Amino acid sequence: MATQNELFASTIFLKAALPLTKVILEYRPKMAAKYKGLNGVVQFVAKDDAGDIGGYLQFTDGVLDVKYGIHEKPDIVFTFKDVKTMNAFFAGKPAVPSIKGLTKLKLLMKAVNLLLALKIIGRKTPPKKPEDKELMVRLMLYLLPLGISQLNKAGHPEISKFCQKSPDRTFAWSVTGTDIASYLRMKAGNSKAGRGKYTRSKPFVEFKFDSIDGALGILLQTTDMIEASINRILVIEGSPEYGKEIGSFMNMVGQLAS
Amino acid sequence: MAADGLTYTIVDTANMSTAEIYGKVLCDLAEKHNDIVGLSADLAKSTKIGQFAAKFPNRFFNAGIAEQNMFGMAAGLAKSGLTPFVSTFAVFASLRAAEQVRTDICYPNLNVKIIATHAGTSFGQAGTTHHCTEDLAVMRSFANMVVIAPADGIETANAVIAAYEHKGPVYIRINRGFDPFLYEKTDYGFQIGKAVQLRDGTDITIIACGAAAYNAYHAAGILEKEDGLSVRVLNMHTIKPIDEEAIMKAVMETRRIVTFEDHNIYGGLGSAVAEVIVKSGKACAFESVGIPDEFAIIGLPEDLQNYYGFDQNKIIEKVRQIMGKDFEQTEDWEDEV
Repeated sequence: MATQNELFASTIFLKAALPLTKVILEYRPKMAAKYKGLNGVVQFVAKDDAGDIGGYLQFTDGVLDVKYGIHEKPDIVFTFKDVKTMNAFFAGKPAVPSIKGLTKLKLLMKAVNLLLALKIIGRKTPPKKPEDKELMVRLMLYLLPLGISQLNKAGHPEISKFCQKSPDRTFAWSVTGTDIASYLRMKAGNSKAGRGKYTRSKPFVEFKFDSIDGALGILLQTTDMIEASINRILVIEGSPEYGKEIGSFMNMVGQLAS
Repeated sequence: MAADGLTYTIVDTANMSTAEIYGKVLCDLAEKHNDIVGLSADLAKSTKIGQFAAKFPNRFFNAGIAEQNMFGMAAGLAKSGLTPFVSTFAVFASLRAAEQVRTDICYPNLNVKIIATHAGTSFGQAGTTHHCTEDLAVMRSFANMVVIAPADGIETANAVIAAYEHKGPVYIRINRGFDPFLYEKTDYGFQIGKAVQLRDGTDITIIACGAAAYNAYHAAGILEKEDGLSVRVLNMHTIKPIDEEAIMKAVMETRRIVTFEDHNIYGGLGSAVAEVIVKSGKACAFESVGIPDEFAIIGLPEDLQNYYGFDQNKIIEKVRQIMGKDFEQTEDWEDEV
């Protein structure tokens, strides 16, 4: 049976990372054009004594939806012997699933291409092309609040405790000079991750990156945090104590997803 | 500003807490004015008058942990023609040494400037013994005393300079921590006894002081953008003498007033505003938000601001309540995926 930590990691992969494939198609129109008219369901499932765990990509006339759970009639199924192996697969480590539905080659290739594109969030070095850098930062800044919110909903002890005590507050991330922004709203145990600017209230804490390159340096941990603060590469507006706490949750998401 | 050359911008003050800004401004003032002397009661480092002590060791007096004596000494120094700046925690200045401030300083109307730090609930984790949620009430009841609660470090710089230029006792209450900056520069027209209108509006007027002013300003922006509400915001930095003209203009033009302060609701900003409204006999919807009839709980200052209703979201909620609108019409907790 999967450990609690393996289950939290699977939550990150299936409920926070896999849905980012939709963002990839949204910001890669040339790639999205190749999915035009595509239909079919690609299931990822991990065997577990407490009940199988999975998520799936559903293409309907080329439009992608990503769902958590087990589809009744998938066209292709990636089956993993356990949750640990599935997590390793999504983290880009060696892990071999058994695959059913290999005859649906076109659908299989499209799904694999999407998963390969998603690997950009696991990079240890920045991409070279500016558009790839932007996509990587966008995906990571969408992943972080979503990951924290999903861990809260999954009952992660530290995050849930923090969220339970939180009055109505919003934590935000943004990159200056771009439309890349995301937020996490918390209120008495509830949480919601969203994209773009939250306009109902000023964020309680906002992580403001000065540029795409500045954000990459910090997210990839190649820039020293103190240096980043002095040079205003990252400005944290709001309560320093809470900024630190949210920073530790960001690290948790990163560690679970690696 | 009359004190030439003493101008500060957000760049100068970005890395300084409000008390550190006070320390720097006092040093700059003292360079120009030999009559300035400093006193503290073993809290020179915490209250940042230590900067003055380091620069002007012969003009600084540490009274030890003896606040009552310190205010007596300040009265004597003022009587001999000097201008004492006295720094200690607000709770000690306004409560422990209340009699000396009243009788030794205010009664003879001596030129003593009291810079009280760690005011309100800004010393949150230190607990009730170190909170000071009564000082505005106490100090504004002393005849001759001017009472100022600056909104940020920039305004503290202005208040310290204005206090020097005012002849008579002045009480300035500042917070412990790194207050967010409401102002970018000092040249916005600070004047003792004159509120600063941060935003104009016609639906409702928020009157705030200290840490609540920054929150009120930003809350008003959100209320305008999200709810289409036209919210006037007054930074009432001087609690005494209070700006009656600005309050009455708000009564007549917006008909709804709500006050926010990091102080007990009895005797502070809300009470001072209410006294003006009642005296006028004009009708006005009025609410006052601050610490209710209790000793403040212990916690981080940001949490206490939320708990006592003067952080941005709670200000938004209160205004919406007064305007008859809910804070959140829908509660949607589905993540955007």
